[in-house]
Amino acid sequence: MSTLAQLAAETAYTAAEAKNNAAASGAGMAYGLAAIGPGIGIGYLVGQAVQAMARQPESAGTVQTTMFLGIAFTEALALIGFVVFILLKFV
Amino acid sequence: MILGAVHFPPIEDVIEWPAFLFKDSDLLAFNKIALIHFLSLVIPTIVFLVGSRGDGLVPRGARTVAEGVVNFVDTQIIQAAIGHDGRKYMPLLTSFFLFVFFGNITEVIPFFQMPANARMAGPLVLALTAWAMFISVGLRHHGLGYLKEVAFPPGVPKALYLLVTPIEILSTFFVRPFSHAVRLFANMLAGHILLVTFSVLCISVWGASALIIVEIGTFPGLVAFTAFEVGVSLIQAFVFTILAAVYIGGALHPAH
Amino acid sequence: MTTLWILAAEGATDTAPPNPVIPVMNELFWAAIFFFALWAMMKFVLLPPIVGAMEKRAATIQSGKDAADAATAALGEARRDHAAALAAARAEAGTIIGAARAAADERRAVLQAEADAEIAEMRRSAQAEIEQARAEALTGMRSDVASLAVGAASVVLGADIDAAAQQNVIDQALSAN
Repeated sequence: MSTLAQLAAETAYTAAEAKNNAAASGAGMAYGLAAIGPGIGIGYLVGQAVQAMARQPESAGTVQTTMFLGIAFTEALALIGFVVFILLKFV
Repeated sequence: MILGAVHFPPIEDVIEWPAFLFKDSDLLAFNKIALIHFLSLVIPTIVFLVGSRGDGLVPRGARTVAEGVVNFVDTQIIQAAIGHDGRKYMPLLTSFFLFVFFGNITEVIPFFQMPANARMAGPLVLALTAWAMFISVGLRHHGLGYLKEVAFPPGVPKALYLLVTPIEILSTFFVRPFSHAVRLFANMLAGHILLVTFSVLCISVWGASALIIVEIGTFPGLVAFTAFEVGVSLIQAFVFTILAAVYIGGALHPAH
Repeated sequence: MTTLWILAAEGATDTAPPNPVIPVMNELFWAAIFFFALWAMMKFVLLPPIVGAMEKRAATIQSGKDAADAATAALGEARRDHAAALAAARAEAGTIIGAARAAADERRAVLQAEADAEIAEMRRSAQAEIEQARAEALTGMRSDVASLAVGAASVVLGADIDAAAQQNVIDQALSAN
């Protein structure tokens, strides 16, 4: 029986490992899905900003500042996904 | 293979720092993060004090730096977000900008290599201050009507108030401080982990082979991302400050 | 079987890693202390000199600009006054010259008239003298011519001729010239 117990101990799939596996896959999916929306949003935003700057070069300063503001807002959502990733992986 | 030898340090080593003063106190433990906050107080004080010496008609030296910061906050943040009556919030917004900037830029400075804003303490204090500030400004200028104006924005058909009011209350009073803090915190934490990852990769790759050519992908990546993080530090300081200004401006003139 | 459960139970109790999102008391404390100290320093000590110097510089530049604008305006006005005075002076000079010319013409006319009068006077007196001399010459010549003619005639005729009796013939001949 002892060899069986040894074998069982070596190949045991413990609760901690199961939790870590689930956490890893969950974390990866969380951030991956969270990055889709802001990626599209920021791409669209910067494209519109470039168009605005090309149409009216003298407003380029204002447009650039507003662009950074919009990027910060949109990126916040992706970064909340990153926080979820950290929480799942390391907590 | 090489990748098998990558040992990413446990996350606590990267993020948490041991106290080196007042080690045994729970409240007063002074660690690297507290040191960075202390320098965020000391360096602007020294620069501004040295800059205010002498007659200021022709600025030179430290006065140029101080006036550059004040002019930046005045034109790009206050005039852009609040307007002319925002001049009296200049000390608060300048403090936000400088505190966040020094908290961010230490990510790339060799002795520290840790942004103080990658720990939730700094962003939380700053976001709560901005939240308290814009609520108090709204209450002082419009009385209790400020709460009514936020909860029931004008120009909405009566039936939609059922939908709009809970969203507005949640968004203005609960989501704003949270997103304000988390934006800064998550940006800095992500940047820090990115730089740590690239550094660990560089070390592992060199550890596996003695040739320097193996660093061809990892070391330029590390350099590029360090430069990128300098930009992100500046941008996040600017965005934090201008959002605080937008919240205060929205409380001063809520008609939108 | 029980060994497996024991091992599983052991594996489940590993130390929970600290949550990186939760803020820590000591960092909160020091962050709050240093941020509010920076805010207070900015408000009372650090910003007033810098902002005051910037505003003073702007006011100096503005007053300098205003003084320059006022000086330019005064210069324009002075130029206009100067041009006006110059034009007035020119007009006055023209008037004076015209008056002087008229006076000169008048004087010239007066002098001319005087000179003409004098010349006429001289001419008249000279004419009178000439007439007188002519008359005298005529009279003298008459008598001389008469005596000569009488003498010549007497020579020619060989006899004395009475001059008085031949006076009419001689007068007729002389007045025919």
